[in-house]
Amino acid sequence: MAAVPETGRDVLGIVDRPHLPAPGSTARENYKEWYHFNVLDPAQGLDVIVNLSLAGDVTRAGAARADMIAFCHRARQGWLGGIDSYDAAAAVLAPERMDVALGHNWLRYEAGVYRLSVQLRDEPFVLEATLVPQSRPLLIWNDTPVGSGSVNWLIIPALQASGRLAAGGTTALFSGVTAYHDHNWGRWKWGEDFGWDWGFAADRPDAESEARTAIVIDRTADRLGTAVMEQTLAVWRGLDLRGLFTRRTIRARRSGRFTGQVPKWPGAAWLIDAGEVQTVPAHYAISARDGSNWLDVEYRVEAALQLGVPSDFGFGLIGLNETFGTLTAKGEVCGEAIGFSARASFEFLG
Amino acid sequence: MQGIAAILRDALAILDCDAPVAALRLVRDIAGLTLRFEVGDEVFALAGGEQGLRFLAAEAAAADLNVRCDGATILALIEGKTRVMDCVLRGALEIQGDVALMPALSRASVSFAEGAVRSRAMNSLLEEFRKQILRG
Repeated sequence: MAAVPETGRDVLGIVDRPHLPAPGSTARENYKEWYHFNVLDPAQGLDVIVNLSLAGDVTRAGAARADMIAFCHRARQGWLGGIDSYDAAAAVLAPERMDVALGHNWLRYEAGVYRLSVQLRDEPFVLEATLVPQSRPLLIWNDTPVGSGSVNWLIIPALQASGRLAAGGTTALFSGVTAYHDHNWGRWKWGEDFGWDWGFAADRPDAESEARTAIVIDRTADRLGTAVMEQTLAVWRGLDLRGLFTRRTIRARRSGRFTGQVPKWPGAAWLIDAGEVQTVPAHYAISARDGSNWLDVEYRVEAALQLGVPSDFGFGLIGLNETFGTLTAKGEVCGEAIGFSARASFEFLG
Repeated sequence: MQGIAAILRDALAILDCDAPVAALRLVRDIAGLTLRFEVGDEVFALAGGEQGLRFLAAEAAAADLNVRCDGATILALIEGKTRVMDCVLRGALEIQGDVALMPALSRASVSFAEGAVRSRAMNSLLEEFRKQILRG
């Protein structure tokens, strides 16, 4: 399969750098940034989340935290993994490229390849992986409003991952499987009136052209999801972005309630709110129409986990619902028919 | 091996430092109450007063509420592997006293958890507690 040409890799080496707040800049206490990766291996029922995040005023000692979030979902074992929290001063970041270390963990981009090494401190979870980009990145640097703040992001919708995961007493080897990466940064407060839907899926490579279709949806709205702030549905074919549906060309809707077990993390979240998680939909439907381009997407949730983030407004936790499931896409973009069903991951906030 | 009272004392000190608002709310939740804990073989009491929380010998004061469980149950509750109601129903957790005072204990546990999830140092203490429980 074709990897991203050298010039594309060079771009990644620059644009995926951290966006730390400068000393003296405004609203440093609301700064948030994370590097996020998913690895999906449906053949062995393995889905992985890796996220290294920074939050708070990283220019002052003790005023920010860094979290290494690593979970996997296995078809027969459920969720494994956890979150290692540190003072942000423990994170070592290269300022002009993507190279970050935290505790025993490091994430790095070099020579056109992302390399992840995760070894959680508090849970038996070890991941070693290399991820080779298979598509060019999409940079959405427009300060999308979230509450009183804003978020920006870089997306690489399709990568090819190989590596090893040891968790739950077993080791899984994976090779040439689908992966995803994004990098978010901005300044906002958890607990303000906003929510979001985000998700991705990538088809298997076409046997003849080796090209694959990948889609990414993102949608920011108020907490109830009734007033949409911004939404995009991006479609890649092979290396290139082929279609970008935006704003009024998209209709997206959550429906039903996922009735499977939804664990909460941290476990102490159950002491704060003993109720079951009610905010994971059973289905998510997207319909996009723009001239002759059209795409219909159906996503069915099959596994869910709620990560509780402390609200920036007093007490309470904000639930980030991480899900895996099956996505079906059908449509036509730039004269090319699209039709596939694949493992996918969506996140629902609000 | 640290006793449960010593671990709780450390946890409250961490809360004071890392999550002072939660610590303050916890003090307010159980102000005027004396709680007697029986965790495995260890028995101690915690009194809520104007100046904060005080640890007492179990026999030093009449308790308003008595709580009985074992360390493994506490760990399972903190890790979200069981729920308070499930523990009560299967007899792993007993709370005795005036029903009217029990919401205060419930509010205190929420305040404690709110502070704990905002504290990095609490993770280290939890890890020590987990190892201690697993060692038996």
